[in-house]
Amino acid sequence: MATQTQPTFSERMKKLYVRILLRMLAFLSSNMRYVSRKVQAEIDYLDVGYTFMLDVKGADLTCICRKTEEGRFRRVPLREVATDVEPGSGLSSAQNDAVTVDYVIAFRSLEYAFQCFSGGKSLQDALAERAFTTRGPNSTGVSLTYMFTALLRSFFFWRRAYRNQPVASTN
Amino acid sequence: MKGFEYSCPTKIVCGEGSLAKIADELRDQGIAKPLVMTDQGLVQLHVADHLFNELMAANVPYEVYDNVPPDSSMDVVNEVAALYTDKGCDGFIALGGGSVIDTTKGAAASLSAEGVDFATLQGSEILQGSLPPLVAIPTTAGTGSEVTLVAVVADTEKHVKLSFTSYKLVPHVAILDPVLTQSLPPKLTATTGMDALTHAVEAYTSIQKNPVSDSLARSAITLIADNLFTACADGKNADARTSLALASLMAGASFSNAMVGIVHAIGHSLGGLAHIPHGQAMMLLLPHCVDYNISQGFHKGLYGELLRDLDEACYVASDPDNRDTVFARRLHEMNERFHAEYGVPIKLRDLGVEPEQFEEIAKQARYDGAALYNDSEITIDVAMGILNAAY
Repeated sequence: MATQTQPTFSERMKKLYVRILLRMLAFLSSNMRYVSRKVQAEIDYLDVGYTFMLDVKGADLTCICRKTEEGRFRRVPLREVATDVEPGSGLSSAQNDAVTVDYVIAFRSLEYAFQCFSGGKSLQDALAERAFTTRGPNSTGVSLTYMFTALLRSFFFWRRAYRNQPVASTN
Repeated sequence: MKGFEYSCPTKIVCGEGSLAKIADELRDQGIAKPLVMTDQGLVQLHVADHLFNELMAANVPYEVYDNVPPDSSMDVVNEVAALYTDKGCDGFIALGGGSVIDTTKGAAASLSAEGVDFATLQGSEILQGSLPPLVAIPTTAGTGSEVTLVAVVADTEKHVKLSFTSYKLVPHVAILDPVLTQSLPPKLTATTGMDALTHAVEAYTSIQKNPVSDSLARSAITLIADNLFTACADGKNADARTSLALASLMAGASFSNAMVGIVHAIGHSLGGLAHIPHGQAMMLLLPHCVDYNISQGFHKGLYGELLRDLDEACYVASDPDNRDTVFARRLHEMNERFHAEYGVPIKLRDLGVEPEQFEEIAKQARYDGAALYNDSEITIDVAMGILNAAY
């Protein structure tokens, strides 16, 4: 007989934390551009209408954000997303007004997502451990990674994962 | 120790005469009618005949696609996938360099995803289904594509090289027979060998480096250092050719799991925008990127460790604090020797790349997939600096 383990209190808290962060992601990305030139530069790199999805496998947590004409990000409800094409495939949807997702970052577990969103692990370290998979054009995926790294570093610069990261000199 | 993943499921068949085992390998893979992928150059130089003769001798029916261009494109990938289905093939043999093998991977991946356009599969670990059986037979010793999870295909409209990564893209069998590389001219032997060296060096300094990939990278560097000049001077030397083929494979198995960095990011961009052949770009950029990393204090001590594999006498003779710099100098010296002895271009100006192109190349390099695996962020200024140094 199959049994299902109940999530522990710690797991429920982590899930809640990640859910809140995902909810706030569009707001944070949009507003951090005023504080960080790096965030602004990467937002500028992405085309208007560019849409990305963050997904946490096994946790039923998804966040979709779309760049608006004002250069902000808007959170897109799942019901607005095209269902006839796979997210990140680059294919056009036949569904009128449906949003197609250009790029997908899928964390392989809630634990990895929590570690990244709480500064316990830098995105670079997560990439090194293959903590997430991606789908979509590399160029914009790289830009998103730069943007999220700048965003997370702004909050978690004091944590070990973000201290002593090599920074290129522009001299 | 940091967590890591490593996978290299390819069966390796290596050595003089190993191509004669092709029929057995096809049988083991359940291939009754392969689609042989190759290019016009290999057909005209009769290199492909070595394979065709083995297949005919074993009464293996096969189809041939011999029009893979040096910079393969999405159109070719999709055309091959359609041909495979039309001809009723049940497996691939990729005979050629990186372009042929990567095109084959692309077509195989497209077929595994029920014939979807390969362009829709960009990213990492997207493929769910297994590829049709794929036997890779490299005819250069450089790309290591016969064991890697990467396929690089050009988008000829946007002048961009697109990379696809998935454990599913790794070929099932790799056959390394020196008879297939013996006719390579010294210039091409040098640039492809330096491509393999770049794979090993970048894998050793990548953010995804791990003990298994490190070990393969170091062994590959030793084999290259011991055999590259010999193979250039004496192309028929089967031992040197076999060793280089193996070095390329080992470097491939290393970077397939550790990935690459700044040299490849700029190199892909040079390939896409200035049409510089990949090996040539790697050879030309490697010493300058190493110089830059040393100047910034990146990878401190790691290059010095590799000096032991590249030139042990030099390692022993040099001051431990100075070994990184000596390693970089040895790379420059290797390039200068290839230039002096075989006329290999080692400056961008000799390849017709002009400074007016640098900004666009640098911007594309910043957003190349390989940039993510570089330890430090590649800014446009950094890439411009390296391009200027290589000019």
